Amino acid sequence: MDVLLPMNRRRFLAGTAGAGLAMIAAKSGFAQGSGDLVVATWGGDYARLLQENVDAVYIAAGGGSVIQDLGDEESRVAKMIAQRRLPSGTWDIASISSMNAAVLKDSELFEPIDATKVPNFAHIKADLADPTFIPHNYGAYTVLYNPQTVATPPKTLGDLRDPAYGGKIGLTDQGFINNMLMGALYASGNPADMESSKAILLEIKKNGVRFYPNNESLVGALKSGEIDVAPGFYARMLLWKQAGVSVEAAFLEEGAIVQVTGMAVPRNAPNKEQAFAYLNAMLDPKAQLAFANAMSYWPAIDNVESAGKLSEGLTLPDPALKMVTPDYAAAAKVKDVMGDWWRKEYING
Amino acid sequence: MADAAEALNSNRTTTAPLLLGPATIFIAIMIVGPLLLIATVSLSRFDALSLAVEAFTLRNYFEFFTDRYYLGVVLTTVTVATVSTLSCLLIGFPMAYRLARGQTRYKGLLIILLTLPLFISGTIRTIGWMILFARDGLLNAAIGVVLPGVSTELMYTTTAVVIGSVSILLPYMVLTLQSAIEGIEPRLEEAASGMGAPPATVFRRVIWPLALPGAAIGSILCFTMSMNTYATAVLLGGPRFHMMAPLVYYEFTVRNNWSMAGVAAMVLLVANLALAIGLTRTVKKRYRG
Repeated sequence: MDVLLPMNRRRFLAGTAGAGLAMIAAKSGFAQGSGDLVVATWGGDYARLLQENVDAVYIAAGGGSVIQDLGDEESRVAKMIAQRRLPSGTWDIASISSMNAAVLKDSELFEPIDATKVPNFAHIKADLADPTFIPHNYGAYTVLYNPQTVATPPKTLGDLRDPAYGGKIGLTDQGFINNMLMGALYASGNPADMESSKAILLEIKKNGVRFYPNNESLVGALKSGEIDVAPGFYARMLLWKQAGVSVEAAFLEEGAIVQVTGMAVPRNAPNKEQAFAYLNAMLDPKAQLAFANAMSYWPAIDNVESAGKLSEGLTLPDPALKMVTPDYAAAAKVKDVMGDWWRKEYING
Repeated sequence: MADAAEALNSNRTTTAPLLLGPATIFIAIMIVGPLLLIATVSLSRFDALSLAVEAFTLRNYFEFFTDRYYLGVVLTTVTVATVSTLSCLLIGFPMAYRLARGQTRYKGLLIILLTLPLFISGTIRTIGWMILFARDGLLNAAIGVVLPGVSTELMYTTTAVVIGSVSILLPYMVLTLQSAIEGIEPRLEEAASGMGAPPATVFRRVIWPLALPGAAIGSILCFTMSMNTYATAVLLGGPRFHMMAPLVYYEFTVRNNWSMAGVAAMVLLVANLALAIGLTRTVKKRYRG
């Protein structure tokens, strides 16, 4: 053995320790600094459509490669808060919704947008514009129903107390905030007053509610006939209908809740210039149109039709769906308390 | 000669620590370190935008043990783990006995069939149960053939979680019991039968006492794994079913309440340790008696 490789125990142990340290050092060298843009976002269709439509515009405008970090929004928010003190974060852009944007607004987590570097910022619809949260698209949360079993769709959320819907109402746990915003809109006219939603939600529960974890399990229940009505997104209704599910959306008298999805640039993003260029690509009319027609959420810009026609499903009938944008800043203040009530008392009560 | 023996002994006492040292240090850092960190976080103060503010407060523990919801989650977790473990023991013992005592040439194949599910992730297997238990799933389709118009609602129930857990844990119990039973001298059973003991008495007086250490180890293993189950609880239990591991995730990721997540994690750890130590001591005492 000594002829080929003079080796003893001490050299072996020292060697393996040294190799281990070298591996750790090399791995840390692979972290940010390559110039790749890292976008933390939702997976599935959203990620695919971003890649097909937004990445393409970004790259065509001279941008580099884009890496997607896929995951759910809540863990994304937790990671952003956890790494806020780091000099350099792991993402350049984070996808979030309007509720979390409001929760984090005063935390100084996000970089203010330099409008000179995002020319398309000027075309964001007036009621969606925000200095740190760039809207991508928006949707309406209303009541969905099966037209084969529901002859007369509900006119208000309160109609779900009707014994005709008894035991056939679905609610998702994932959408608890939207359910409470909708309940508050019905009860007091102010979606952010979520305390007022408790009474109507409890009455609906007494009529027989089935709880589902997320939208995917909800559509399965609608399809199988386990439920006939459920609060849900108008966009989801359009997609499910295209997939052959018997479902329609009810236009409630009190209105539907508007939820905005968008992006923000963390203050410690390693590649801010590229991030602004990506946001500009996201607001490009071509990218906005393609995304809207594919995902059935409405575009966030006012000049989308310069790129083409929106799909028929996104053209609302007359009278149009009444849409109410909650005061998300006020709602954010009570989000945790309402979440506790939903989990501890409403679902398990 | 004596010097050579002394030198050899001296080499052995320094060799063992040198070889075990790196691995021990690695385990101390990678396992004990994070546990100490979680314990520290459990004593910190919650802040939604800072996740956990450094402090020393027992408030989180007080909140946990005085909140009916959290106590309910602990009770559900212990109940599901107990029922799953007992089910594994009841179903697994006969299987293990057959494997241990069987003289078939297919014994190796049977052991492979038993361990084959372990090659597939527990999450994937749980998704299989979801397909089976769905309202228009295979189970209801099969029931509908025999009893038209009749269906079950197993999805999002405690029963579904227990069935899912047992399907994942059973191989561990069977394999542990099998090796314990193989260690029991078959002539003891023959002697007991020869002296007129019926099979139930042979089991009660001979097999069970000697297999008890193996049953204890299998039970600790199954109970610990069941207490910590995540995917099975979330996928089969649904939104109204809460166990400790999903609670830790929820507090950590959704509520950003790292302090409470730390408390839940510590409670889970202490419960598992208490059971393992308690059961081991009970079995040892019984053996000494």
